[in-house]
Amino acid sequence: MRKAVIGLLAGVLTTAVVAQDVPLQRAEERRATRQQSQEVYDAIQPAVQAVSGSTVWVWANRRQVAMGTVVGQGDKVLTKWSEIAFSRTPVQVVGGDGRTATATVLGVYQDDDVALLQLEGARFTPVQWSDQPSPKLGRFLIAAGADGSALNIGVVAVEERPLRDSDQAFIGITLDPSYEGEGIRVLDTAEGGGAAKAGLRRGDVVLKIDGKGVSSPFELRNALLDFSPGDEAAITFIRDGSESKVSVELTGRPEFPGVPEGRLRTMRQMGGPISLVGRGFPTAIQTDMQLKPHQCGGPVVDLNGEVVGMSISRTDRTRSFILPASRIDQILNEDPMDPTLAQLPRQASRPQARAGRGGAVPMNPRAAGRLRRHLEEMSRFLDRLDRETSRIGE
Amino acid sequence: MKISEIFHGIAIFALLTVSALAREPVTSLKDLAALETRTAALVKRTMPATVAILSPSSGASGSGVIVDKDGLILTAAHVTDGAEEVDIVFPDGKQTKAKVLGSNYSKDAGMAQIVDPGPWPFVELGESGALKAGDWVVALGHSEGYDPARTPPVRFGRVVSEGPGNFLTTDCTLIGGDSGGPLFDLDGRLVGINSSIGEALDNNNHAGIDGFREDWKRMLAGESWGELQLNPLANPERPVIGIMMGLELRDGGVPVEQVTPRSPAAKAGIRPGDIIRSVDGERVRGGRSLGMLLAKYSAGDVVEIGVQRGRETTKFSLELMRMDQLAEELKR
Repeated sequence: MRKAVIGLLAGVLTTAVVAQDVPLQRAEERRATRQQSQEVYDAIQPAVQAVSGSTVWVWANRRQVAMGTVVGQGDKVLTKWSEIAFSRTPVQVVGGDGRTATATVLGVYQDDDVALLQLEGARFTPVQWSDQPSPKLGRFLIAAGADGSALNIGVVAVEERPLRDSDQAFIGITLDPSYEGEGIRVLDTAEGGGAAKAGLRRGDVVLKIDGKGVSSPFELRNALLDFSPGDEAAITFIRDGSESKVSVELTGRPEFPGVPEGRLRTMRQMGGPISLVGRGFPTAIQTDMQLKPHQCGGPVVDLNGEVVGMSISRTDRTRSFILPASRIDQILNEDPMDPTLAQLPRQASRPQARAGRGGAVPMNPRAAGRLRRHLEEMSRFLDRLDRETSRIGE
Repeated sequence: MKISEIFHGIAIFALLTVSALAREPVTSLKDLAALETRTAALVKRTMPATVAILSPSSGASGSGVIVDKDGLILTAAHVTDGAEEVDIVFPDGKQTKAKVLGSNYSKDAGMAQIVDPGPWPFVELGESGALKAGDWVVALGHSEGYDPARTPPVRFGRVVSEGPGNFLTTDCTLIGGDSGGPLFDLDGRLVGINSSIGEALDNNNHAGIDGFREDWKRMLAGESWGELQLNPLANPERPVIGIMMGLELRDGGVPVEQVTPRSPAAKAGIRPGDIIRSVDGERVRGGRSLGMLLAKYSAGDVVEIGVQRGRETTKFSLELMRMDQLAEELKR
């Protein structure tokens, strides 16, 4: 046990073990920070003790690729879908006590990048999710290991929020940057957007959204954060010198496929490998916890040992994401997707993100491309089917 | 009444004692819970003063922090570089404008002043000189630029290395956009400004607040000087002892070839032919090692230099001097 903790220390918290990591670090500073890391890991261990029986290692392609969280009657496990999706070997699940089960993928919650596994050969203890509200800014979070140790500790960096643009309310106006004064002037309205439908047009000056004054593009975005797509917002605006009010039905923000500039992309990967799928989750807690991609998928607890969620990604240098307990509760009540129909979200088409983890590129790329095209066609077909059936229903 | 006064007296004393104890040991969940409470409290208090800085001329996006009610902003010199006026965005989306004041590029220290009168939310200044490896700190900043869909992310960590000079290194992971953002001690006092990163996760560099204090008046007056230099051995403000080094010995000793007049070495009585063996007890392993050891200090710090003269080894106390100041001194 002791050995395991020291091993983690060397690998996770004190990356400064190699002297040149922090060029000016003195031997005594290195000693002090290493000792401190060890003290912290010893101190947090009691918080993860209870959940370690519900934490498993997930193996695919003869490597440990993710952690898993035990659910159901102890016969099911949640893990990170994109880490096992391309496995050529049966997925195996190993508990901290060494017991091993063979797993089949029962279903996939694609938006959350979560796979639900059915175990055969061993049972573990199902996790007890916290029923507390999502943890607040600055609260400590600890990722549990399977052997009673802690994998890492971090804080709530940003409270739970939707990461997809389409989950953010959108009003559908472009602003006139040359306008100065109270409110914001409409330069154009997006076709089919809420503003256009409600009759707003170029030249209107929007003063308030549901009584909240807006005077800049950022204030507008901020005011809209209180809404969800489908909500009605009361817009106070001025046209031809007179003030009026209109109700706008908000839509979801169109996805903006932003590709970060090269320097930022480099910086994101400074400090180690990142997950294949690391963004776009319907809802997530952002933490500064320094997880590795193969450490995602396991339970995350607070200092009281309450299981507040499941780690879902190492996104970049500064971010890891946690799926909140309430979200997992919600998806477990939904039917998962058949794994043969599930596709990897589009970020997964960038296997170069895995530089530094040789052998981590799943499957041969041409086959993956074929599969993806096939799945995209399939999903377009399903979308159409969906649209047409809902029209019939109206 | 009397009792309550005494009680207050004790309470304040106790609080100060806690603050003075820099490296708080963490050996139990209770200790961690105490750290957590302070972290959550300081984040709540300081976040409203943590702004995004957008430079309309270059399109660059960084961070800054307000330090008085009139809207004086501290940031990194490289954030405001080349701009005269910048857009300021608060975490709640409120927007305003600031005039760029002075910068000391050698310290990556910059100032800007919000044009509209306050009162603005602001943070208290702390001290960076006293920080040591193991001290807990919290960094904030608008990572990857202002994002209305989230508050500036919180990074909790500790000092892992002092220096170079006025800088300090922590394991609060930073990324583009965090530059100019604040680093706080656990009392929520500003101790540094985010500056740069290295490859490793614990190589995140911050300009110490003490350096801002030194240059406060000049920056406030709009003066800009210095040189942005990520290599600490090339920084014009690096601390020196004032010797010309000879070829390093095979055992790592550094022979003194020349002593610069009026330098700290000259004042202490170091002579050509002496061999430099240690800095504050750390063994010198060649010329580069001597440079790196000294780079950790700031000018004005007193160090003990171990010197071998013939068969004797003696220790000299030297007050370090800034390279650029020594050069100035020699011109006189």
